[in-house]
Amino acid sequence: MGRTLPSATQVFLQEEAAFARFRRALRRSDQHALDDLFSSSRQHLAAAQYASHALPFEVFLLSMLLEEHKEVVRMRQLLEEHLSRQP
Amino acid sequence: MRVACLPHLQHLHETRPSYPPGRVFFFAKECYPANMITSLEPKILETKAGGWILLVGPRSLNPSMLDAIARLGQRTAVRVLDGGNRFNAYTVARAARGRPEVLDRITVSRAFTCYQVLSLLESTPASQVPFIVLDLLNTFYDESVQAGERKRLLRVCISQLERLEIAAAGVVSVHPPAAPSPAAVELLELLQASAADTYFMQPEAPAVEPLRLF
Repeated sequence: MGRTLPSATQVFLQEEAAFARFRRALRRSDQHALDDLFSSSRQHLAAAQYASHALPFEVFLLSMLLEEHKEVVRMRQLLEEHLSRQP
Repeated sequence: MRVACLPHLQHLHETRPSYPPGRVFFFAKECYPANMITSLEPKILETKAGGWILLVGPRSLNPSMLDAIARLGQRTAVRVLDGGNRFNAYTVARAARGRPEVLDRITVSRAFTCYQVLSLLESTPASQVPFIVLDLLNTFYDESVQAGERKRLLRVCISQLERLEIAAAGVVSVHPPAAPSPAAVELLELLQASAADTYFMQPEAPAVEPLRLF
C-alpha cells in the first residue's frame, strides 16, 4: 500500500517550487529574506505533518509567523536587558 | 454510445490490424475526434440518474477531475470511489478553499487491487448521491492477475455500476496504461460498451507566453 496523501515535506517542496517565479522576480536581498522564511517554516515540518491540516500552506505560513514572533520576543528581551543596565 | 478516436492508442493499430470498424476506436489520423474535450466542464458531472459517463484521458488531467469534484461538492454530496490512489485531499481542499461544509459532503473510499474495487462497488449502497469513480482500470492493468480473471471482475464491476446508476448519476474516469497492451484495450472496450456516454479528454495546450524583453 502506498501513501494516500503526499507527506508534509513533499507538499512543502511543491509549495516552494510554486513560488520559484515569484522568488526570481525579487531583489537579491529580498530573495534571501524569502529563503529565510521558507527555512524557518521547514523547521516545523514534523508539526505540520502531525497537524494534518486540509490546507498545509496555512500551517507553513503559521510556522513562519511563529519563528518571526520568537525573533521579536528575543529582541524585546535583549532591549529590556539593555535598558535595565542603563543608569 | 458515441465514437471518438484516441490518439494516444494509435500505436496499437500495428498490434491489432484487424480492428473491427464501427467500434469505439478508429485510427484515421486526419479525422477530427468527436466528443473530445480539453477541460472538465461542470455540465459533464451534472449527469442524471440512469446512465454513467466514461471519461478517458491521460493522468495529467487528474487535478482538473479533483477540481470538478470540489465544485460538485459545493452543491451536493458526492461519493468518490478511488481505484488508483488518485484522490489528493490537499488538491480538493484547496479547490474548495478549505470550507469544511464542502469537504464534509465528499466521501472517499479507496481500493488498491481489482478485487478490492469489486468489493468496494458491491458494498456501496444505491442512493441518490452521485458517485465518481477515479481511475477505475488502474488496478485492472495489473498483470499479476490473469487477463480472463480481470475481464470477469470488470464485468461484475460494470453490473455494480449499472446497479448504482439506477438511483444516482455517475462518472467513471479511466487513464491509459503505462505499458499499452491489447488486454487493456479490451478492458476499455468493455467499459465503453456499457457507458451511456464516453468523453475523451485532452490536456489543454499550454498558454502562449508573451515575448520577453530580456
